Amino acid sequence: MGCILNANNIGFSYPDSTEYLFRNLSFSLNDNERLLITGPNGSGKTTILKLILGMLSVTEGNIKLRENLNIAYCKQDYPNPGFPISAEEVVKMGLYGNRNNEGLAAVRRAMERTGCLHLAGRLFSSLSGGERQRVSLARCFCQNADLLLLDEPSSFLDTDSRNTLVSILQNLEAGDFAVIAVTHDSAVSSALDWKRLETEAF
Amino acid sequence: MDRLLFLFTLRPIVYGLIGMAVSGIGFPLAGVIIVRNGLIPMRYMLMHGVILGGVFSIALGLPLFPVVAALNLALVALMIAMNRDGRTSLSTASTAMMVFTMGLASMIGHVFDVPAKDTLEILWGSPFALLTSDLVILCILSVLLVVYVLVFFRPVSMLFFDHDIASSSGVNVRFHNSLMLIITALTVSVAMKLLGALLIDALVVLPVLGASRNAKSLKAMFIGSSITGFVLSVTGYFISLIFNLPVSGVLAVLAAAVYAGNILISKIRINRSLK
Repeated sequence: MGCILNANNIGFSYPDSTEYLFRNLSFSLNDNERLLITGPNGSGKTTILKLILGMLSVTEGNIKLRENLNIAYCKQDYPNPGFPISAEEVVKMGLYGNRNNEGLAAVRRAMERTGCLHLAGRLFSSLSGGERQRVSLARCFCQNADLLLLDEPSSFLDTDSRNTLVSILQNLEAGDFAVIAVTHDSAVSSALDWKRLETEAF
Repeated sequence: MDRLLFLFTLRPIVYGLIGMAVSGIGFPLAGVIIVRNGLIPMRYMLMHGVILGGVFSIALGLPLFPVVAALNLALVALMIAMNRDGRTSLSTASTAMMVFTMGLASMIGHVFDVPAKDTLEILWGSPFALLTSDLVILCILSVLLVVYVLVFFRPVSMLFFDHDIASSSGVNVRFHNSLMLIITALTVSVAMKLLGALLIDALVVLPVLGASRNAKSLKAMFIGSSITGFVLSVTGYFISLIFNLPVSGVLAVLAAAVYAGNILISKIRINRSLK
């Protein structure tokens, strides 16, 4: 079991800002390990995920990722509601980043795993928040990634959908992948017995 | 009928038909890129770039198309540079560029005493004025558009869906975004010769808006836009020949009518399904 990610004393401030969003944050993650990042709104939880993805750059410190680390990213929301794409097509997107060249069987397997196979032909934009989250998780599973980043996975979910999501996360098998989940939802964080990192609002 | 047959013995008429048919298939693909990437403000900037390029070419006696294409590519390069750090949106950058191009066009026009009438003629293109070289450029661009969409369909659809998801899945977002901006710049520059700067939308954007209302997938949107564009441009071309009307005007009215008809049909469908 090796280290796949090491964040060392990282700090971040937006280019136009004179204040740090967070500073002196350190954490690491091994293969198949789970990390829950909790904290209030505006404390930089989502920013940490974007730094890991390379969408933003750290202002100080550094983040070291294992070479060729395959990262799947599940967003909080999808601001493109009118885009005509089926749930199955969304899951198929995961194949683009799948280095094992798995085919449609992987799509079906991933959709079965998150309980969204029956939604395959539906337009993604017509799905409820919970259904979209299942489809997005299936896309990530389909990517066969080393690390899964979940950004506020319980946003916009009703109680039933949240329970389903927690059940999926609890039942991830040991050999699947490492996971970093960001949440400020106490119901989710209390249900998951994962390593934790607390962020604070500056 | 005899008049129509006679017209097709003339080279400008045949060139015009080929130009309209080929661009009718290819250019709406760029329209899908414009609509899905929210590049409508940039398209306005490129239209103003066409006017600046026109004034510049008239002032210095240079060939119109290369000047316009080069200028629009330079504007797009500037936009990409402004957008690089993510602090200036493409929309903001294109608005700034739009004002800049018009200001510069006004100054150059004044200094070189460019007649306003000549400048305004740039706003009204004509498929009958296509040279062999224009037709070749138009065909190459249309083929490039089709090839780009076919080869890169998966990453393009991921980009349209969500940039962050595309980026995290390994799509080279910067490369594709830059390429799509360049394709859009070239398409607007070429379409100007066919329909003029003012009515480019009739060939590039309106077929997409019409086809996308009922599209159930991105593939259907691309195919539907191309078919709509082809049918509109060829039909508009024949109507303009038969009734001796300007092609650009006929096509614009036809495209707008099809779009309005599409809205009406989908509203009737929704009402029926609700009953």
